[in-house]
Amino acid sequence: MVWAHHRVRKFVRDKLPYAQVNSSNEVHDDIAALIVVGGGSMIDLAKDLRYERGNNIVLVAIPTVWGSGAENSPVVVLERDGEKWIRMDSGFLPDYRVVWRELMPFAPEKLLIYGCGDVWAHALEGMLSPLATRELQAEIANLIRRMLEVELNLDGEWYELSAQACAAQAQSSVGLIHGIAHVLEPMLPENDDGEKLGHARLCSTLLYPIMSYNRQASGKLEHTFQENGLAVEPIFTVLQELFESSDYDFILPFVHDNWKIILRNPSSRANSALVRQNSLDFFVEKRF
Amino acid sequence: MTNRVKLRLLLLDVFLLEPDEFHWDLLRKDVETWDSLGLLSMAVGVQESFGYHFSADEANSIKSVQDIIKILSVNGISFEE
Repeated sequence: MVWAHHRVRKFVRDKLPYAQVNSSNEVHDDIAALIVVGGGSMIDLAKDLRYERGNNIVLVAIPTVWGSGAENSPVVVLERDGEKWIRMDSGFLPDYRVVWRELMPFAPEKLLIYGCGDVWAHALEGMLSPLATRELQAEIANLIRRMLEVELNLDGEWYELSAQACAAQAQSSVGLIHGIAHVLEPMLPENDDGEKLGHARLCSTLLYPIMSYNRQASGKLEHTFQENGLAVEPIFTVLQELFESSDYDFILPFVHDNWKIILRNPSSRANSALVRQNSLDFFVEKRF
Repeated sequence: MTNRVKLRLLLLDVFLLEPDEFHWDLLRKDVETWDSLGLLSMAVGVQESFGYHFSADEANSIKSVQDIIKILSVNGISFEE
């Protein structure tokens, strides 16, 4: 049985000769396998559905956009009662993941660029996490070298980089970028253009300010980069490219008003540099 | 700033305490935010503020503010007034 995102439904129907459903509610109990073709939220819903049904269904995850790496992660992030609900269990990991590059043209271009920001956030927060071992840091540094060679554009290589960054990060933790994103996502209203800022878009814009904060708050960033043969400046150039000042200005009042909640978020508490009550000044005064 | 003041400010931040909630005999079991993540961010903060890296055994043995002071003192960081 196939559950595909509406943007790719017709394309997938023509390519895969299996019954299709339009929502997770329509997935039968007695199926042998579920092929989910969609973004991170859809894949996480499918992972949760399969898990709740006792893991007797073979799950194949095919991402339409890169960024979340949900197809290669034992973590599910679901929105429940206006809050992000995060669970981690090896039972959530799909049985197979497939990179289907022909799906790329169906995704909005901006979504794919923001997805690159999500991949960068996973890689950098995973590598700098207090829980990252030296081996993991070296593995992510190799991944970052590959990421630096791929431009922030429509390059299908990002599907693979995304899956690997997410799997690597799942071995340590995320940090303040994800802490802020997870707190704000459910509460942010639409911006002046009527757009809802999603997870990847928030990560894209938060990368540069937060990595700048980590850099000035502790020597760990420079030290870890140096120890793993990574130059700081080319990486910060990419982060600057992903930064959108209008998005930053839009979210800043929400960061300010929810700072105490952000400080209590588990991801924020696992940040590479300690996030203090007065760290907010760095972001409000834009010291980056 | 003395090490005692530095440590107090650090623990207020790490455990998200109000100033009047802190005292030098504070126990881990009395602080809701002194969980495994609190321990992790305390270790990060101690490294940033005092340049000392807790070993895993040390971090796991800490049950009070006085334990932190003892470990740091043994490693040459003075808390004498």
